[in-house]
Amino acid sequence: MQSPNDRFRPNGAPDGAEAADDAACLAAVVRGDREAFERLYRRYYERLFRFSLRVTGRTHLVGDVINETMMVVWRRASEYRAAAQVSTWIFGIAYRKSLKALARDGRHNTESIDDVPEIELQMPETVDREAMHAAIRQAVACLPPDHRAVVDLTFHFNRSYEEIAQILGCPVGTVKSRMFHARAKLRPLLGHLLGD
Amino acid sequence: MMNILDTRDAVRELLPWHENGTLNDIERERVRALLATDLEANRQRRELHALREALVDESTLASDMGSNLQRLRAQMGPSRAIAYMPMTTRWLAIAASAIVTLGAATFYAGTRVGPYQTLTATAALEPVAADADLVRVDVAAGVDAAALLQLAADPQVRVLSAPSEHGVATLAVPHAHAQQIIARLNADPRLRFVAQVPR
Repeated sequence: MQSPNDRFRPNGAPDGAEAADDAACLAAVVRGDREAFERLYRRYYERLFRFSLRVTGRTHLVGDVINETMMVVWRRASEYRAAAQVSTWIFGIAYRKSLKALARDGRHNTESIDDVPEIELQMPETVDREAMHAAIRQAVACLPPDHRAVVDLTFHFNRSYEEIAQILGCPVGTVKSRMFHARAKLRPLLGHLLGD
Repeated sequence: MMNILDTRDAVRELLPWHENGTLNDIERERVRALLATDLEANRQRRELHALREALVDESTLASDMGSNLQRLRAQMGPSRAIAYMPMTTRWLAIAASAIVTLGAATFYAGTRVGPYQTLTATAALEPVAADADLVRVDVAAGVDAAALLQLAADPQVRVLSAPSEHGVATLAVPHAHAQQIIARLNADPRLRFVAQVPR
C-alpha cells in the first residue's frame, strides 16, 4: 500500500534500483574504477551538500566535508559491508566529517540539550505558508548539530529511525531521545504557528 | 493508568516516522490506533506535518560541484587499481614487475648474461674479415688473451673474446694459416681443446 507520505520520497532513501546501482558502483570503486566513483560523487553531491549544510550550518565547510567524505569512499570502499545501504554508509561518513569540520572550525556547540538556550522564536505576524516555513527552518537551524541531523534525516531525507541510528552511530533510543528534545524546543513556535 | 500513559508516550515517539512513512506495519497500526483516540497525539501530528513540509520545501542550491570534483581528482592521485586487486593477482603483478625490472637493469648495466659461449656454438661476436676462420679454445686458468696471441704466433690473429671464467675464448685466424695456427695452439698443454667452429 502506498503511504500518503510517498510524495516526499524523492528526497529520501534511494529506491531499489538506485540502491542496487550504488552497490554496483561501489564494487567497481573497490576495483579502482574512477568513472564509477565519479558517478557516485555526482549522485550524492547535492544530498551531501544539503545534509552537511544542515549539520554544520556553515556554507564554507560544506565543500571540504563532501570531498573528505568521498575520499573515504574512494579509499575505503572495500570496508563497506552490505548490512546497511550504501547511502546509509556514505551519510554516516558525512555526519562524522561534518562534526569534525565543525570542531576544527571552532565554536562547535557540543553542549547537551539542557545547556542549549531557548530558541529565540521569530513569530511571523502573518502566518502565510512561506513565512511559516522560513520561521520553522530558522528554528531548526538553532538546534544542536546532532539534533538537526536527526530532524533533517527524518523529514528531509525520509530515513527510518533504524537508518538514522546507523548513520549517527548511536542506539535507536538515542535517536528517539534527540527527536523528543528537538520537538520540545520547537513546540512553542509550532504551537504558535498552528494556533494551538 | 500509568502503563497506558507509558505506552501512549512510546507510541507518540513514533509519530515523526509515521509522518515520513518509514514505520513497519505493526508500528503503523499502533500509531493509527492512538491517533483514533488521542487528542494530544493529533496535535503533535499537525506540528510534525508542518515541520516536515517546511524542511521538504527548503531548496538547497548545491554549488561548485565541478570545482570540488576537480579538487578531489587532484587529491586522489594516480590510479590505485593494483591496490585493490585480489591477493593472488596482486602478487603475480608484483612478481612480473620485478622480473621485468631485473631484466632491464641487468641489460642496461652491461652485465647481460649470454649469449652463452660453448665450444661449438657461435657467439655473437664483432665483425670478422671474410677470409678469417673462427677458432674456439678451452684454456687452463692463467692463460689470457695476450698468451693466446703469443701462442698463435701470427700477426693476423685477433682475439674476439678473451678467456671467460670457464676458460673459453674465440680467435679469428687467417683462413690460409688456420691449420698451422691450430696445430701450434694444440701443442701447448695449457689449451685443453682447440677447434674450428662454423661462422
